[in-house]
Amino acid sequence: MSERIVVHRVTDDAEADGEVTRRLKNAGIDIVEQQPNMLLVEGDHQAVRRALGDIRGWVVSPVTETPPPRTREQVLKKP
Amino acid sequence: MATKPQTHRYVIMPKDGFEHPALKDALLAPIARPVTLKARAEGVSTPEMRVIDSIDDRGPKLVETTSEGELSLRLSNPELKLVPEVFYYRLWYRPVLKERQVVVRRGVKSRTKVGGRVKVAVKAAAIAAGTTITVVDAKNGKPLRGAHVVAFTDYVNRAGDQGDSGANGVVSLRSISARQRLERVYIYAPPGYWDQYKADTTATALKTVKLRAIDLEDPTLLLHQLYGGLPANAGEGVVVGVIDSGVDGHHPNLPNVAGGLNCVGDELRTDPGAATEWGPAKTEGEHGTHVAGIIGAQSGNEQGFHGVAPGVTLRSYRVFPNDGGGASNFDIARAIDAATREGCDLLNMSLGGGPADDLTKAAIDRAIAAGVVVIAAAGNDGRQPVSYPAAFAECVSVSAMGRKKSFPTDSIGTSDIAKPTGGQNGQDFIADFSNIGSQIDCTGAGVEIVSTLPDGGHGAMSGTSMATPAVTGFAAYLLGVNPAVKELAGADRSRKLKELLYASCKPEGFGRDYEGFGLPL
Repeated sequence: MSERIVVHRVTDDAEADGEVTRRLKNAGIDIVEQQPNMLLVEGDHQAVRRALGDIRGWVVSPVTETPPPRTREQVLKKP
Repeated sequence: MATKPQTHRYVIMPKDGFEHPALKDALLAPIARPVTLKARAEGVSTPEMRVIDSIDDRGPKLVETTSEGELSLRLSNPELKLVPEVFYYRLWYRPVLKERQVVVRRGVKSRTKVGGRVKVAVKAAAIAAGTTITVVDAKNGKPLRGAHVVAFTDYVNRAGDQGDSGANGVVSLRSISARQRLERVYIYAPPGYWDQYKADTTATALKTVKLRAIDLEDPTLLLHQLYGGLPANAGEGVVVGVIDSGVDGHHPNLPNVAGGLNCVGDELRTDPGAATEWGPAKTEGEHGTHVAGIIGAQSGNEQGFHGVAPGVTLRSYRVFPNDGGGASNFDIARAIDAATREGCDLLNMSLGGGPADDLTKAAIDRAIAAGVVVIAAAGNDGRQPVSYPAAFAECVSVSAMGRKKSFPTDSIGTSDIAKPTGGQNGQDFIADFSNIGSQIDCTGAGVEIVSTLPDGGHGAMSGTSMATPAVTGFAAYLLGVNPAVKELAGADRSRKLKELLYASCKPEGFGRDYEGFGLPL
């Protein structure tokens, strides 16, 4: 199943990001956005892992969400 | 009779890796008798520690000590970390039979037999529809637009009604009758006024709510009490990144906002020009401006209000989108990376509630390796475990405290007063909403804190979101007056500043899991 996933650097001696991009593109993974230390990609989780192979210093993480700050009480249901 | 402090087991290990020369210290050799540790502050008892086991000469040690002992060890061994001993269990699923609870409710009951079981339907008694409350200025009786009233008939289940006042000051609550009992009513004020709180009342009894204007120069405001004595240039030369909902750089008290970045990917990918939209998000965007004001608002000529460290330079990294949604880990990591690259010394993260996440942690690790200190809010879930990212050991995790009489007795802050109490004369308390736990490093002023709001306004807000920037502001002050620390580079700088911050904390007597090292003063 296609989903958004983050591929990101975790060590100082990680492989150059150009190599990560090359492997992902070769596997037909869609790169949504690229930053120096991370890439937002769209594709099947296993396919992304396979494309990266044993590349040094990069890992795959799911996209997560932090809720907006709530500083007020809220009614959740009517009486 | 004094009770003996409870002991816990911890693993002492290097901050990075598995072995460290500091672990070879004679104090950490496994012996049967307890050893005495240094008291971490004046007036604090001298803790004891027992070294139970060691994996290797220079490797991790299993020790038993009190919470005071843990804090003492952390302060005297900044290159080491203490992790509570944890246990893992087999992942068996063993169903537990629960006794069926019988709930008695008022209302009309009907019984139906379904498949041998009796289903009880409860039909709520009909409630008369609609009532109104009028919100006015206490001094001149003028109606106030923009008050938000939240009235709970059943607080535990968050049942009730809510509404906003219009130009005539009237708030319509359509689901509540005039004489219906209201367990709790929260009246969130428009900018410039104190909010108000009522318990066990009715709309009839409330009828007209009179809100008092905030005096920005009131010396009893908590930030003024705690940090009013700091110099007007406190934090000079220090850059603080505010990772939040955006900051209003046009506010008269925030001329020190030097720029920032909109980090919301969904907005940037649609319009790359949106990168400069680091101001308040269009929905619920006031949070970041309030946070920024606590850190470093400057007194204008007309308005005496100022934050903890008015000398700082602020930068805004907006991660909450305009549509009011949550912040993705990709955008938070982008913000941390950008703020680090752009020279921020401190990062304020008054956000949390997402899961533990490798991406955010990797970005925080990079920031720390570059010499940055990351300060994060413990969360507002009411004594629940510390939320992420504050729960990462690498962050300075902040709980929220308040002080009685630093806000009006009928304000919402009254509902946040809870045990434990501490400080001078027991006037201080850890807010009812604050999360707590072993990851708490310090506490900060977080109840009814007056600060800046977008469009030139001011108002009071409560939360660990407010406690965190109070601590960040004080850390900025410390960095500003310690040039030797500022000149350090990399993780050493980050570590040294954290040590300074922790050493400045005064224990308030709340207990380790509530306040960590205490309140920075």
